[in-house]
Amino acid sequence: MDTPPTSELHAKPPGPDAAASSGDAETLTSLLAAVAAGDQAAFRRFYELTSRRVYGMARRVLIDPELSEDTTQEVYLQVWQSAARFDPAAGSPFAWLMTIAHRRAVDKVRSSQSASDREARYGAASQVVEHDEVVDEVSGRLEAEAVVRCLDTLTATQQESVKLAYYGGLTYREVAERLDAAVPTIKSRIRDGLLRLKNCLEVS
Amino acid sequence: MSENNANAMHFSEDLATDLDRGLILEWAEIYALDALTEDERAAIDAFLASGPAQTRQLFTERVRAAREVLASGYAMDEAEPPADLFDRITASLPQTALPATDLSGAPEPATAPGSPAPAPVADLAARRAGKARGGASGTRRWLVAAAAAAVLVVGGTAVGVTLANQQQSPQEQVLHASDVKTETVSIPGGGTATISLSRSRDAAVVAMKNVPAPKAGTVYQMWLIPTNGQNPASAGTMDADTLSKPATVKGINAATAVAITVEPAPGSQKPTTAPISVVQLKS
Repeated sequence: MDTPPTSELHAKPPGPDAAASSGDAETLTSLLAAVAAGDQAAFRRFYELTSRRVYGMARRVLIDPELSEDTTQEVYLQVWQSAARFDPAAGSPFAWLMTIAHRRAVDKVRSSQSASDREARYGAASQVVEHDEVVDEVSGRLEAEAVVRCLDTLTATQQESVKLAYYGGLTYREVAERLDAAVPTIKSRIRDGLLRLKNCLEVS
Repeated sequence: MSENNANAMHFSEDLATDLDRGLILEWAEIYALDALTEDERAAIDAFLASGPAQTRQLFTERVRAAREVLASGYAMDEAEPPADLFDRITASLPQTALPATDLSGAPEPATAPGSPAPAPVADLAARRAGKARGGASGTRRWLVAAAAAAVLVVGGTAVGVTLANQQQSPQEQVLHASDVKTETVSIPGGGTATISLSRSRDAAVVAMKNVPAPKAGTVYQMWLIPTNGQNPASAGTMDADTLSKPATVKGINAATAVAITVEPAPGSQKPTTAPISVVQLKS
């Protein structure tokens, strides 16, 4: 099977804007269809286009390089095995991939860390990703600028709760403990933060 | 931003209370963020499955939107994985098929990532052994004759509810179940069969990949081997047209194994050949 052209992806990472207008989601979607048919060249291409993000997220959550490699390996094995289940009507291929990846990373961080490691992670997760880092990371990308602008619409406390959960692998209850906040408050912050980001990004 | 928005629905301390108060949809973002325990995820899945389809639809839609947002807004770190990682991944694929696929079909025991090596239930010498016999011991011998075999450890506790999510197809329900377990077995002659099984859904999804179409006049037929020692029960067939589509098999909680045979079209009442593969289900 031919590998579709994919040259745009690095310049335009999939995001809500990109998904609406570019061929990136289409590229990844057609690659996944080829992977589902057992096409290893397509699998390699899909890996080349996405593995920096998967491994980058794993490193953020797990920190440890070996655990992150294991997680990335598991993620792509799952991609290989379940590409046929990807339904373009149910979301973008990048979101599908990162859903798999985040779930794996969180499973791993929760199962592999002792309580004391966990305590250390609370600190690490609460400090990560200031906005200027994000800007550095993604500067020059129009879509990413929209993301950064929209992230700025979240309150500081909403950002903090979502980041602790996403990068720290914490449950809402653990976030509440960590921040010494009421559980219902943290649940509201997560919900409201993500809904606000959705509205700003106009994810339909 | 006020956290005391008068229009916002107010969460309680715990999931059960929130569900009682009709706040299920408000959990969609927490669910999408994986910011809950596996037990809570399973409880939400079960709650949705037992409720109205419209609620499931709204919840699924909110989760989907939140996942898009998370992928865009939070999964933006990039890091270069080790150069050899892709090769390690391909080396561990259930079946490493190079572009020039070898269809000679030497059977090899399948090993799925992270799963224990398959138990020695395959007996290649007995591969062409006879027809199915009635009774438990006959069935066991028949199973042992499988050309390819794997063991799927699926956990002993079924949730006990039959979850009927109308928003998701039965197939999706299995594949998205919180207790889904997956095993892949190589099919002699080429390709793999991946079985994804959920006790809570009492169902499995069988997906063939790169498997050659059955010879004209034959079909692949799937069988459930009942725990009560009864004869194998047909769980459906796949022909050249349907081979590429995953098939859903229901009633796996009463089965000890799923077997695949080649049968004369359109399928047999009971298996007439030795299975080409068996996935044993271990609690």
